[in-house]
Amino acid sequence: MIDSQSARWPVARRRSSRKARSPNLRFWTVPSFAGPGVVLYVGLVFLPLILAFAYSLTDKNLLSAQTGFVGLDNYRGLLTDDVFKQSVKVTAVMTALIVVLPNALGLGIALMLSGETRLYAVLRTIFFIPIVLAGVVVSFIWQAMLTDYGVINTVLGEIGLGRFQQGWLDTPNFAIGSIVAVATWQYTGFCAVIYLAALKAIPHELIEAAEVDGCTGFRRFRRITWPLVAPAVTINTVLLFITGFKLFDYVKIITNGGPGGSTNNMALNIYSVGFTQNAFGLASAQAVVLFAIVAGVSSAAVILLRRREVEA
Amino acid sequence: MTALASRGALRPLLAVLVSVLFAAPLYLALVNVFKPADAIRTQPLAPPLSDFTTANVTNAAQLSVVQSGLKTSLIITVGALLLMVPLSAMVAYYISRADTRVARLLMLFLLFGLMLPPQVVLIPTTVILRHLHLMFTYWGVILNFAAYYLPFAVFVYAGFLRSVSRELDEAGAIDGASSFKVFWRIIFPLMRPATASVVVIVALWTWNDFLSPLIILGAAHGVTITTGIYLAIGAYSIDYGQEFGVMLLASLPVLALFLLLQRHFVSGLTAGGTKG
Amino acid sequence: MARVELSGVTKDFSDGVRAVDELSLEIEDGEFVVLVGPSGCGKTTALRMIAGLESVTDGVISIDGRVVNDVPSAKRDVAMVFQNYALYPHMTVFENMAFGLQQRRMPKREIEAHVVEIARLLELEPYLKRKPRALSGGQRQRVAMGRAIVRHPSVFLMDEPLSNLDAKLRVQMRAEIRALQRELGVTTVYVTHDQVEAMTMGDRVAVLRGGILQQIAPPDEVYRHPANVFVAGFIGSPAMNLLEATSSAGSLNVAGLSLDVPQYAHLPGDRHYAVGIRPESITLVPEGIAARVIYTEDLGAEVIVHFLLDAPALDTAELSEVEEVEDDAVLTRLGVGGDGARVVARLPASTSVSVDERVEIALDRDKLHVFDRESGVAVERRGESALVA
Repeated sequence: MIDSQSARWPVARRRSSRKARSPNLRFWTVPSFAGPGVVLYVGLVFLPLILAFAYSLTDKNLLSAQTGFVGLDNYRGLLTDDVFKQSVKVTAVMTALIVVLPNALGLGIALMLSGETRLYAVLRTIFFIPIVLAGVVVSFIWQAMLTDYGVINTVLGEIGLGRFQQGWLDTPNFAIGSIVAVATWQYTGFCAVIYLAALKAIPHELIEAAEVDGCTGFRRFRRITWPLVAPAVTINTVLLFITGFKLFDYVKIITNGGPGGSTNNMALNIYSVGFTQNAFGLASAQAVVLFAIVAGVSSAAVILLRRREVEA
Repeated sequence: MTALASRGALRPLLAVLVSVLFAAPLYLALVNVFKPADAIRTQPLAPPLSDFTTANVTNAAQLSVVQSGLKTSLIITVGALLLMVPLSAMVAYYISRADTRVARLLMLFLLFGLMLPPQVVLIPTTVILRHLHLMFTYWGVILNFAAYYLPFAVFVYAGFLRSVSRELDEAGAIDGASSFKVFWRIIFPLMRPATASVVVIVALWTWNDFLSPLIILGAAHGVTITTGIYLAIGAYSIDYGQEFGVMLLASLPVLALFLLLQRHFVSGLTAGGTKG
Repeated sequence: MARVELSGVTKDFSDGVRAVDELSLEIEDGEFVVLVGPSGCGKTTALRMIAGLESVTDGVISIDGRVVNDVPSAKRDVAMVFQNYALYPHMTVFENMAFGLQQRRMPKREIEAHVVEIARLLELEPYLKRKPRALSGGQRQRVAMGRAIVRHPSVFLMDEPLSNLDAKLRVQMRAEIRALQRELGVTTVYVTHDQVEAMTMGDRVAVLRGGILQQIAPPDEVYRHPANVFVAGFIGSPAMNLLEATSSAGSLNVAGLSLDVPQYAHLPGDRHYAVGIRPESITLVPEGIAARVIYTEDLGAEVIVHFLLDAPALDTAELSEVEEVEDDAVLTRLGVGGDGARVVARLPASTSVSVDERVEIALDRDKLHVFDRESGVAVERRGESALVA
């Protein structure tokens, strides 16, 4: 016999995404999976951040036993702290240059070295190696090159360009330039890596179609390559921005903030104030400002540049 | 841009030229490792043809600070990785499979950490570690690194997990495996490329960092190779040859790791490139 | 060995879609039941709920008398063959099959014995050391089956396991699966969208649509006594022809012809019905319903002829999910034929008709199905002997 439900004429439905809770949910997505990692992160990254905020409101000093709440005094003090204000300026200048130079050079290198042959693979590796070196190593090598009797000056003398010899680290402008040069040297390869991956992701058919349509060279770059590379530009810009603000190794080792504080960026200043002068509270206040700037600008940049990507 | 130079013989020529210029500092370092001290000073750029010597390297290798430094660096890097890899993989697994609002918020919460300059939290971290009696211990440094690089690892793993089919989880569940078993025996082995990326990148960052070990471990209790180099620079009468030798030794491990896993290094970095 | 019972089972997804609506059915121990229906009808969702991969919004699912709504998959003693096989890529065939047994803490020797035995049964022995990526589609499918079989579960669940295979392999595997299941005697729930698979494999066939069970019965029952218009149109290929009809004074008026059909003489007069006739029950006659040939397909063994009748077409909006009817719609859109009821007939190989030819067709009165026009439900045939179908 017919065994059936009363057959209705159901309304046609649209299939939508399935987001259900299976009885296995408490099973393979148990929060305890995430537990240990989150605890570690909260304990040694997030908590310190909170503490940094807290300390910035005190006059905590490693040498003195008492710590007193001082409210926003530290921050107010920063407004008149010339050393701090200079450090902000220095950071701004360096970061501005670092966001642009390795970025542009990285793109150029990526375009130039994007070939398939062995030669290009080897050349690419040469550009990648600086990324792998420790900041101290890079600093040491460059210091050897930049000092008054260092390699650069020696070589310039030998090839007859003696008049270009400089105290590369002796004057503010050259000092900043040197630091930027070092950073560029180390991070150009990094940007190139990102750009090469982006370039590889461009479907070959697009390039071929462009060639057939007679669109080549610079036009092709502007119309096809550039828009598809835009996301990589965002990444690199943001990462370089963060790197610029975080810069520490070079300024500490090569110039130690000199000459006359001209390469004393915020990161270095925080270190000096915190560890050399032991003024934890004040250093924390500066660190909070540093963080606010970095977080604020990165987030804004990501949002802004992301929007431009979509349009492009 | 140099797209104009993308044709013909101009391009390889230009490429080689630029590469040579760029590689000059590397050449400098490498070449001077194998020259005696005076040759370095007088002819820094000359290749060590007649006066090739491995004395610098051997001398450097025998320095106690180098030997203990390398050992310390190894302990800390391996320790941080051993701790961070499983933890971050599990967090990523939760975030990618749970698909809840909480999970998404957690991801954002972690991404926050990617933007954090270490100077901001270095001081407070020492305070916390002091409370835990972990200051001046290896564990202190290891925990610090593991925590700091966790967000990056989670990010790479979560991105990779998107390509691992949920049906595998389901098949495992039906086969009777508990959540841990499903993760460790089925999913984690499939994430090997992501693990390779995470390992090579975080190993690099951890090994090269000189500040954290300096502050947390403290020179008196132990020194990583990079911290050692830092402390040595600044000493007057620098024996450049020996210093370059030390730096070569310090860089070789990461260089080797990098060349070995270059592919994964790149894919790990660009994982961020496509997802932002 | 277990019965599976679904009782008023409903599944609502968080975006508001009701995938399964008050589904109730009982699968006997050792029975092979096929859930069939167009995509989106809820068959896979129902299967996944039995497996424990989806939560149950309302209703009760029990396996072997035990309510399993909140029991995790691992503890339900079911095995599933996925449409995409879901083989563990990094494990060998042996390890894939052994995995489930390892979770039960079976001793290694026993595991090996079990796996080898099943591998032999499925002719997978030469591949035990290979990884899935080194296997063909058919081999992978067998490994998926092997993985399920080796656990000797209470219930087999199969989610369109053959849909990724080529046609010839599919036919072969159909028979193999059914033979295997008979030999093992394990209760099996099998999901497919292919009604041929359903009809050839199932002890009983459950037709679903829009999450609602339309009919569950043995294949020949579903074929000969479809419960409603949807089942009638879905089962059988080519699909059953459906025509508008009215009743008056004990006879049916179909396509301009007044048919005297005793089995339906009891129908109340002046009502609208849908009349169904399968393609094989249509014949060419000297005098009958006027029809014009619009398309022919000579298959060698028989000839499929598409006719256009001088009668209004049944509004097929409701039957849009039935693929065959869609084909007709496509033909219409392409301009083949014209307005009017379309009828498909299976005629003997010797038939020779040409397009645009005008002929007369007759409908086998004993094989007519009548459905209420509004609800689509089949109207009972009176005075039926066991042989009339």
